[in-house]
Amino acid sequence: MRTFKVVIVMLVIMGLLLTAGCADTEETTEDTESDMIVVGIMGPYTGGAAEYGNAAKDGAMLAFNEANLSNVEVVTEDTKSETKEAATAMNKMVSVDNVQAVVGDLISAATLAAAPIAEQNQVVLISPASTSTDVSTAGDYIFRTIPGDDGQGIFAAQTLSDAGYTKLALLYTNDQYGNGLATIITDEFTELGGEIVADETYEAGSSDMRTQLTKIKDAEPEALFIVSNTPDSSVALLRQVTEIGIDADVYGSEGLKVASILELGDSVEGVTITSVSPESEEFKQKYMEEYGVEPPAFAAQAYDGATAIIMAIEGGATTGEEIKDALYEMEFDGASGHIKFDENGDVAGGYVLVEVQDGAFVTLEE
Amino acid sequence: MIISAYQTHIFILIFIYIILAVSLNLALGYTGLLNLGHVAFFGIGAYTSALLAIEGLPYIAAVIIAGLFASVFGYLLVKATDKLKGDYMAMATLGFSFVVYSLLLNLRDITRGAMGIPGIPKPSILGLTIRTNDQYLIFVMAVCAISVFIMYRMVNSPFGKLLEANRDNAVNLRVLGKNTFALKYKAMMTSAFFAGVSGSLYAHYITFIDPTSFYIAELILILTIVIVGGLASIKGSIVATIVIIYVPEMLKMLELPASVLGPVRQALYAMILIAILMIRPRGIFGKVDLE
Repeated sequence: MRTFKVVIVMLVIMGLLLTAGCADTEETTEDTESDMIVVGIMGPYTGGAAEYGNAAKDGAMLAFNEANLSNVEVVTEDTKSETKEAATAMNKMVSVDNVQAVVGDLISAATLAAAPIAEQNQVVLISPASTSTDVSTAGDYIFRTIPGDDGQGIFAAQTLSDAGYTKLALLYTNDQYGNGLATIITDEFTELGGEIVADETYEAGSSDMRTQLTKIKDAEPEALFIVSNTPDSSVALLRQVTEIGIDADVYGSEGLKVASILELGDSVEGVTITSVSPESEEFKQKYMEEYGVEPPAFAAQAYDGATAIIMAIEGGATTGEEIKDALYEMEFDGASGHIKFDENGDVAGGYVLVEVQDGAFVTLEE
Repeated sequence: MIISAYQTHIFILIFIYIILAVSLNLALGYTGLLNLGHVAFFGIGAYTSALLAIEGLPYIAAVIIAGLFASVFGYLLVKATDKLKGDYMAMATLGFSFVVYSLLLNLRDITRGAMGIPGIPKPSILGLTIRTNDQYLIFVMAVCAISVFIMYRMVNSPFGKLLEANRDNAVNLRVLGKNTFALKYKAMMTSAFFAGVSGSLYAHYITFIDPTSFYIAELILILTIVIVGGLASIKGSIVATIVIIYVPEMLKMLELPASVLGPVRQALYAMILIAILMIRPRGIFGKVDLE
């Protein structure tokens, strides 16, 4: 009797879901027949990186809503920043929704898992946030509107070298982003005649870096470069730098540019951050008007990714292949800076230095 | 092909996870080893096979070495945890998962650490390269059938009965003169071997792996499958794999506003799982409880 009940319950659930599924599939087929171009947005909407994922989705949606093209339909997929989910989402959008272009994913690992599927099915994939150098070589159909790690790494190494430092300590999160950036800074800084005196990592999200910082202190660096992309870790880390009494100038990647570090007051005065050029004022206002908050990281890049796709479609492209060809040709001033894709589908991007002065982030002029 | 590319993809994942879940059930359900280190075998298999294939080794060799390598770790894990039971065993094996994750992350010269390994080649067997997903589906289906058949024969043999006896009353079994350590390591090595094979299938299918693919989230997924399906039931693990992988995909077909789509799907999915376990506390086809 019990088994019977279970079977009934499961059948009912499956039945309901299947009906919903069928209804959706039919709709999509109709859309394809009426020459609709389907564009996807994917990213982590649940899980650890959800905040970034939702910001990117909002940014991209803003562009699509603004353009309001009658022949474009937008679908979204959650990838939970997992590689398997990203591959599944990409497969689903390609075969069920019949997408021609996708804005996403954010985490480099997820983008790299989705890339082969996009490439094989001739679907354009534009990532607004994946900075891994591997994304450059992931395929012809793979683009990004954020400059790769090499851009920021080279800029950081150059800045540190120009400032006259020769002994540098690195402290970074042990993830794709931290490792990628650290490798490039190490190569570039050594080439410029400097020396890396300490190379320490920490787990993303951890809040005790005293061991690593003590080692760094013993190495007596002139400057310390921090790569962090979790706000909580950034705050803990900067507090401990003062606590342990490291006598080096503190630099950091853009992950440090979060409001919460300003609460540390005097101890973060003079911290210098390498950051991608800020979003345009125009975009900031549009975003504030629509969502009521300042655009978080990657919203502008996602907006530009969506804009690039819209421009290609407005230019007459209807298939992934045509959109891809159009992307390599185009050039425009987007919300996140000047967009021109090179042969790897990367953008050059600009960087600025931001310094903490009197409890606020101040962009330093060249 | 009659089914869409998306369904092909889902079925490929289902077959890979069936091997993974049934092999965990062999250790957890049949032998009573509360093993939370299964995901580590999955990862070891994936990395071994991917790295060997990139070095140019034929796929068949890579997948077998991947399985054997995982099974060596299975032996070591039983050796290290032989004196432990129940919760203590769970803690120690969970520690093993953490150690392996940490090694994958920090042995950067070998595993490329957090950067992951992109561009893993598709398998090529006896000169035939598997290019399309349809071909891959047939391939995993065959591997899955062979693997499950071997494990099915194993648990239904006299040896399988000894494994169950070890789970239910290890002391009695020892009094009868049986070597429970040998039973445990044989079961664990077989379990690890198939986990390694499924890791290899996964790596060569997705073509990109990084350490986070073989960590807590994955561990919870395969444990959920085994528990929902029922301990000591191969049929249960198979049905549960299909339910647990397929249901979230069907939820994708629900028309939901983009702003709530992620969380609502997760919540519905959780409710379905809770409902199954409320109606069937021992899992869909479960017969036994662990102490």
